[in-house]
Amino acid sequence: MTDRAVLRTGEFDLEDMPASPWREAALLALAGLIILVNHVALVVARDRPWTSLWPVGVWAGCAVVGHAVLNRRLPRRDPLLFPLAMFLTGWGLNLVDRLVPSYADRQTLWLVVGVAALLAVSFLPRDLRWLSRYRYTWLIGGLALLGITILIGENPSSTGPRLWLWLGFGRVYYQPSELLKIVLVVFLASFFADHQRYMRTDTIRVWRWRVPSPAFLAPVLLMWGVCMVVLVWQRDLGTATLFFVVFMFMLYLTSGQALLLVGGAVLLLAAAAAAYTQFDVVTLRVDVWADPWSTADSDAYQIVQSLMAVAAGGVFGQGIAQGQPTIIPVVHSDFAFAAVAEEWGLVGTITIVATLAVIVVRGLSIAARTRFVFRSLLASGLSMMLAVQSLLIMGGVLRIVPLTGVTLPFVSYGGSSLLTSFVIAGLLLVLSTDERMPV
Amino acid sequence: MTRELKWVALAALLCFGVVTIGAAYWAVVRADSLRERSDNARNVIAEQRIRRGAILDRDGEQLAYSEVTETGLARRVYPYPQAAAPVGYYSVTYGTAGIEAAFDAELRGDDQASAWRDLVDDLLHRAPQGSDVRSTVDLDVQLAASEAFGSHSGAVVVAHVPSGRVLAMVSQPNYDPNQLDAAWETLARDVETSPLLNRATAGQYQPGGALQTVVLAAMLAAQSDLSQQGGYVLNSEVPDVDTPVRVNGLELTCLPGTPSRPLTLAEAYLFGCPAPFARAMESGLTPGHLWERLDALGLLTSPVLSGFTTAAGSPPPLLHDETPSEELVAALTGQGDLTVTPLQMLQVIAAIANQGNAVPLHLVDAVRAPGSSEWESLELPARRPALLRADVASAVRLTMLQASAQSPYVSQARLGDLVLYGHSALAYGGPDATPYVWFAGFADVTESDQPEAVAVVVVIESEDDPALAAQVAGAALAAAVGVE
Repeated sequence: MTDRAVLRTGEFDLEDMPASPWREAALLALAGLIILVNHVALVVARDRPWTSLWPVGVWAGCAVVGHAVLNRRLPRRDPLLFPLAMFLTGWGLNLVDRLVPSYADRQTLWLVVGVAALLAVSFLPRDLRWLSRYRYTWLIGGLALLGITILIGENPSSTGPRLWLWLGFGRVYYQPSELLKIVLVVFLASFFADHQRYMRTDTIRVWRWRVPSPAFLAPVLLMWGVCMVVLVWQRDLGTATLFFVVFMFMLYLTSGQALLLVGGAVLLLAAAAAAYTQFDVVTLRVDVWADPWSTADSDAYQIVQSLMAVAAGGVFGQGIAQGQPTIIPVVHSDFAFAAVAEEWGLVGTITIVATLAVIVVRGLSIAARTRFVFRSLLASGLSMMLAVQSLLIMGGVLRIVPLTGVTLPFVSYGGSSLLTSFVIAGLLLVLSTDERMPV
Repeated sequence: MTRELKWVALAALLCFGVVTIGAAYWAVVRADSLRERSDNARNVIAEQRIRRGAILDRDGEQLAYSEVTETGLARRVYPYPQAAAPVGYYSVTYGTAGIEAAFDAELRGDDQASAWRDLVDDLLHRAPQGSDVRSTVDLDVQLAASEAFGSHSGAVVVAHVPSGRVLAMVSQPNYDPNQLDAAWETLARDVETSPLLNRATAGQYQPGGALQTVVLAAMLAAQSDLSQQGGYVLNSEVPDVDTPVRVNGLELTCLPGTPSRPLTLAEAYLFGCPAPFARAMESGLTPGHLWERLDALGLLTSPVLSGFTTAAGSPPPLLHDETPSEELVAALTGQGDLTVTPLQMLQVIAAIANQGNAVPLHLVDAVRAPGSSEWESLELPARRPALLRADVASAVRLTMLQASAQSPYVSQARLGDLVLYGHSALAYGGPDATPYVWFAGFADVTESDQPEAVAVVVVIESEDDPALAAQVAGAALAAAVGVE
């Protein structure tokens, strides 16, 4: 890790371009233009008053303030992360306002909260040593919150899994499993960083091959157990898969032992198979994925309607507010990607996929550039969290994998998810900038 | 760790690539099959967005139009449910009928479609606009006929001769096309009265005494020299004119009110006496002649109603010299296997009014493209075959004129000093031989050199008083010729 090897990612390579605040400002302006055009189109298509453009104003305010504060706090940051995150969030705002206008103000509020959280992260000590040092505090705190939610959690729509905590005012709820995503990555990055030296060499010989030592078994099984608890509690493969996959990749990054991934995959499939036989919800999701057509009017209605929305969008899309994505039940959270496909077409979906891919690759390249194992693992773990979550939901909507109840980062409706995504973006920005202080 | 990060980045990019390919697969490769699925609600919404053209009566009164609701979807409105028989209905769920069905392509705007227009409409999300259709229906006649018909079951058709314009078409029991979707289950399941069946074009009725007009024409046509013999045939007394005719368990007699004195063939016709017609084979008519006449008058084939698919009644088995006499008697009295639709009967009556020539029956005469004020006339079939010899038609006409003067029933349709031609008849239909009454006739409305007439056919089910049909016909004719 001490060699400053660089993950080359073509033209986006940080080394080749000086960090310029103008680049970020230009990208933000471009994103703002796209969002404004879409919102104007929405206002025209829906015959709304021009005052309903206010979420774009809030977005622009967040962009300007965010850009200014980041210039002061993190002048040498990655210039792409903030504009890309803001671009997806603004697009998500367009989408929520179009799909469920009554949720638009709440989503706009969460945008402000999210950007504030991102900026708050930038004000915290930049060496992030405090994250590493109190890792057990974070983990126990996170697990305690999870435990509380399991006990007294509720569901804002009063049916379905009770994954939310009421924040004590209004109709504002928070989903602690979202916070757990960050806590988990922080803990694992810190723990693995301390033990990396041993993990990389910890192998045994089995006849002619070197395989990971059985010493890996305990942490892997422990993590697997935690994920199973989440699985049992949520009755959904989504978050559990997300946690476990991110864990396995971080383990692989630390140890460099690819065989561990194979073992992890076996455990994951075993858990999935168990869940398939035990939980009706999971059985349904998998059956519907395997054959949606025979139950297109009942169990598979949502996924078949989602595919029809994608088909209706074609290459160029119907245009904002011109398609019929609202045929899909709860389109604004789980099926935001299908709504994008219908109204912006393949052009829109490729743009979303590419934007997320760039964010992930930027995160991984930050991980590759840093000299410190903890920072590297933190950056890669957070990036993988965004990547796996995006891939799970996009793959689910497109029937590549069974559908899981995770949100599309930055785009879907949902405050907890947006807040988490912005905190991840903030941490990645911090990680991209300052390397002087050793951990 | 850099090496591992490279692999992880590659794996992530690969997965993002798979998602992109997945999106392209559904959006491009499988798009058409998904779009065409019957459970794709977008098709229904697209259908509901179409601004169907209006259906107008001959004076421009709207009989059907599309109203755009707040949601941008169109709703079909029928201001005159009494005109349901010619106008029909349009329903996203249950399809179309009447003019809505026959001129569906024009009303939807499909006839205007071009690849370019489709592309522009699609890009701009413009709702497809259909053409207006002008029907030949005269709302006054339609409403008068419908009102006069009251709550009876049956049908009325009124047409102008020689243009062939159908002025009114009533089929009862009726339905309200505005309420079709809500009432469909009841309407469709009602096999007893079949409200959705257009009795005027598709109702299959036993012709009964109404066939006497055809048999009379056949008898006259069988005369070698009608100008010499015609008057003799019609005006010579017929022996045993009031003998009841037994056919298929029925006993057919003259209409009630027939004077008990010797009657001529013309009088037997106007009083509806079946005996002379049942004995037609004795006076030179052959089964082959009769068959030829049925065929020529269009009673064995579907009548032409421009743009529409019409139904024929069921044809009888071929009549020939070996046909048993009971079957011949049944065929001659209209109580055999042959059934006819009111539209088929109208075609016969119109030809008699038109010197024996067929009239081009039609319900729609012009179409107006969206945004245009120019009506474009529809082409009518150029061929106007002669259904009857002119001299035969003229002899039958005279007999029908005599009927309007002497028949206690036909005279009920008479209006003012208009010249009325008509024939009243009874028929028995169905397994329990329910009686029903026919009226077929026309009023001469010639104003200049060109002869003009309004022809009408009425059939009323489950009634045995021929006067009822004549009264309905009279009301319809009165509205058509503008006589109070």
